[in-house]
Amino acid sequence: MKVAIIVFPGSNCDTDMYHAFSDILELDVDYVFHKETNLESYDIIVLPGGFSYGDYLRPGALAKHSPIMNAIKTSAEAGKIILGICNGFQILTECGLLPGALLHNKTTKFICKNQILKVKNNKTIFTNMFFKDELVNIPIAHADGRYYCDAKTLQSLKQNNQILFKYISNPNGSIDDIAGIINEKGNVLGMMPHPERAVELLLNSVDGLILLESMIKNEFFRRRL
Amino acid sequence: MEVDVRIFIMPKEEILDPAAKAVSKTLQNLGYDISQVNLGKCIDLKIKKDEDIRERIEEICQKVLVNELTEDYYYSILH
Amino acid sequence: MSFSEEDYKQIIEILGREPNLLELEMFSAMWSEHCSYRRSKKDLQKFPTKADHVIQGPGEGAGIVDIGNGLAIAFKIESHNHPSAVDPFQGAATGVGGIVRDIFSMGARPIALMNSLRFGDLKNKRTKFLFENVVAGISHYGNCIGVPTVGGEIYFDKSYEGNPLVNAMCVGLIDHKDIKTSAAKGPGNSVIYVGARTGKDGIHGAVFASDNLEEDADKKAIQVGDPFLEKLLIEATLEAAKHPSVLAIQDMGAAGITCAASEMAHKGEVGIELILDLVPLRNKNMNPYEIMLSESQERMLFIVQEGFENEIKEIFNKWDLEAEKIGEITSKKDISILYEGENIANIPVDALCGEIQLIETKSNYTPPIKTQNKKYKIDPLKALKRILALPSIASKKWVKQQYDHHVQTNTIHCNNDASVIRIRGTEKAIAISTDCNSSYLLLDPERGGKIAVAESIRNVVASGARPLALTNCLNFGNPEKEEIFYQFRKATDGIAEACRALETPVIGGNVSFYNESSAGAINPTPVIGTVGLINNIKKIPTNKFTYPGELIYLVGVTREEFGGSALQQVMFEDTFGECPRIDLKLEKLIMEYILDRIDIEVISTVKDVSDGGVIVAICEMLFGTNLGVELFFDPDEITEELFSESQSRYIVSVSPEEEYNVCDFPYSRRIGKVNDTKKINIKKVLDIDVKTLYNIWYKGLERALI
Repeated sequence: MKVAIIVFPGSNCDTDMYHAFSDILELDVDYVFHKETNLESYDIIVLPGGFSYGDYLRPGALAKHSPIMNAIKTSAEAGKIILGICNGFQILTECGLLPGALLHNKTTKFICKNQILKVKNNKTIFTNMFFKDELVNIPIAHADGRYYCDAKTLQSLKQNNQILFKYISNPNGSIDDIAGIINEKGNVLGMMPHPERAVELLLNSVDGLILLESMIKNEFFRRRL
Repeated sequence: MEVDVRIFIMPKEEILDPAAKAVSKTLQNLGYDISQVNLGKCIDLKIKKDEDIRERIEEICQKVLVNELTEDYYYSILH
Repeated sequence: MSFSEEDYKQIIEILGREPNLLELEMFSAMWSEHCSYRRSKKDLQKFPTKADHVIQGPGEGAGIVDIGNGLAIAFKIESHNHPSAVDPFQGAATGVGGIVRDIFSMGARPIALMNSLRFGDLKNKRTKFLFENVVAGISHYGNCIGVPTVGGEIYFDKSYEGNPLVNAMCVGLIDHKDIKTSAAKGPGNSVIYVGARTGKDGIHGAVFASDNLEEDADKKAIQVGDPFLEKLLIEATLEAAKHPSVLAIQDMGAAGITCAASEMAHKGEVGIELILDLVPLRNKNMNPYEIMLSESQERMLFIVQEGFENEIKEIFNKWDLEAEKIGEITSKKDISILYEGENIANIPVDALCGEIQLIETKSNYTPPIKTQNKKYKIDPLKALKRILALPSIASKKWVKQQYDHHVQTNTIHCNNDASVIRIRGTEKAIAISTDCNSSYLLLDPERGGKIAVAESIRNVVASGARPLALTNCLNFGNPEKEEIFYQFRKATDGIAEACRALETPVIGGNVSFYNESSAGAINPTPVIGTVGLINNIKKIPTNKFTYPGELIYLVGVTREEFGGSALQQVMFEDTFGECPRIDLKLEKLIMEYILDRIDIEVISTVKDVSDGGVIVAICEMLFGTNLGVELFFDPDEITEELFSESQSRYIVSVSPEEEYNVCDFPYSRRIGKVNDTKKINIKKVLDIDVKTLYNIWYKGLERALI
């Protein structure tokens, strides 16, 4: 099983993700520069956090035109696992792989803190190792994390159980306290909190590790079939 | 031949704009009788003049400059 | 441009002719205090700078210390005070940018940022504006480049009104074999300019920092930073630095190309020739003077072996960065500037750097004799509440949450004392702290200087780290005034003595003079940034009480010492009296004792006692736990027990089973016990819910901002 971590100019949580997959989960991981165009040999594709293109124009707005994006779109269509964290989530909404948009925090300030989330749907590739309604600690660090979508989209997300995580004590004004969602097909996840920052007890939480392990377990079984 | 294009991008009305709220509050605290503030962006382009220039500007806006879910835009071509 | 007649005569002597305008500007920039340290150099030479583990001392982008496992830590602190007073957002942002470049120009990956900030009274609108925007600027830049801002200190005092201090410290990690310096080598080798284009930012910045702030300082002098470009520059530089053809790297900071080029040539004992027509420009119509002195951000100078220019260019182009050859190293030790086919400046390199005539300052100043006749009769609870509400003491969470302190996933602790960063791939970690109590220095600069070093080291020791080395940022007023120069001389005496006594060398730093305006001079503020090494991450103590039943011990000697204290501040809103004493031998003894107790794992909690005295330390050890304490103090000596700011003290907690491991130390005494009452109880003195105190402390800063 191979993992690709996409590196956009300005990504800065790519090494953190790399360490989580490589050192802790002991998987085969590659950095893939945004100028590449082929992701065929990868099973899991990660769009990490950071400030791609400096967040200029809008966070994720310029990254969506990077050469690698076509390969990411075809991989999503082919059912591969796509994980978009923070800036990665922003890029996924900008290019339409996930609905909605991420706007400036209600407080207008950057916020970095531990964050309690509630697991709303534990029957997905990403959350099958959590209990339903479990409270988990996965830190946030963002200035533009306010999730927004129109009423119709919100209705649809609820109906299809696409909301995976909700904030307890909403830090940024996200609609319906939404912290993370998946696409209809269930293979693309976007979330603002950083699971790669919660993979070691030394750093206070391993709830992020549970998410990554859920993904891998699922992928492993899927390939077996 | 190039023309100057000025594009205004504003957040959609229904979306909360906390930055605009903060500016409005500051102005009110200073004694100005302000009822509303909206913060947007202004982008100036120099682009080669062409037959279908309006089409190309629309394309540029929709493809790159504007998030149509959350923003409205209008532009003027300066001759 | 500021020149003395003597300086001008010297220039004529050096050149053998009158200088042209460009040459004069180059001398002016390089001979400014900011670049040349003319007034301060003699005193800076007092600092001990060597030790077995010091790989690089002062003189390069950053100092470097060995931490074992083939790894080393590069670090330095620098000021960006004057720009922050005029445009706090960009001033602070570019301050971060500059110090980070100093680190990665050595080939080190930046792994942590800290900052030491000082402002006037928050009741003042301008001060509020400065404070909020400095924090926003640091947040904007530091977060974008993906380097965690893990701590620092923030103080508010009226002496900083009009003269905020913004000192930024950066720490980087490097393999020994990857260390690069800035000495240019080899005539014929290429000078490659990389990064952002040169614009008109910051012209006159270096000279600007060497003058008092005028009421309407020209905004033209403020540089604007692009953290996105800096992030790309970090990646490209670290990649290129590993290429064997890269011989030297330096960032372009104060005095831009002029400073970088001449310093690199001077260190390598070579000459350098630049062709200004080749410098990538942002504005089309820039004259040679503007090109040479621009302080546009995010630019570096590389010396690359002849023939390998394209390899290096390719690396930068991959990251969509420009890299252009703009000159060559020459054997004749001149800096020679060509433009439009003509030689427009030619100056011996050593004349610009190194051989500058130092300015001797004599100070016949003697401080007035201080008397202290004030009585400190107080209601301890009232005093404590007022101290906890002081913005300098209250929780800094409002600030901390704006900084990404988790990125790189190596941050173990980032609390108020020292921050701890683990070194991936090893069992080690480093502890970092920045400190200075300027009130003590105002009362006695020499003692205050010693205390600044001791306190910074104490914070690092409290995390179980042995101090390796320190960096200092010496912020003072106008050194041409006798009283200010007296403060500088005495403070550096104190710092030097403390560094020797505590065996912690100085490996680099910065001097910032002229922090003075019509409102007056700042308190003498030499900020000390210490880095210490923790050999085993499993042995890092916490600084919070952990369970009911722990026994609380105070290690050190308590006397009645309130000069410069928080208590004095809330009672009299003034700073007077005698600075607390410091016995460096005792400090060293206790430091070794604490490190030893941590190493044999008999104490679980350690906290150093500083501003506000023992009671504030106890509060901080309780906040966030659900615990309480019972303290045993003599009610007749309660003021000094709770609020005295005697030095060289730590509070530790032990389990009853381990008590015998601390109780027989001559400077230890038991002062209390942890329980689950959620109260602080001192018989016949006070009995208060921790929650009440927590709320005051937690909201202290936010309340002051409303």
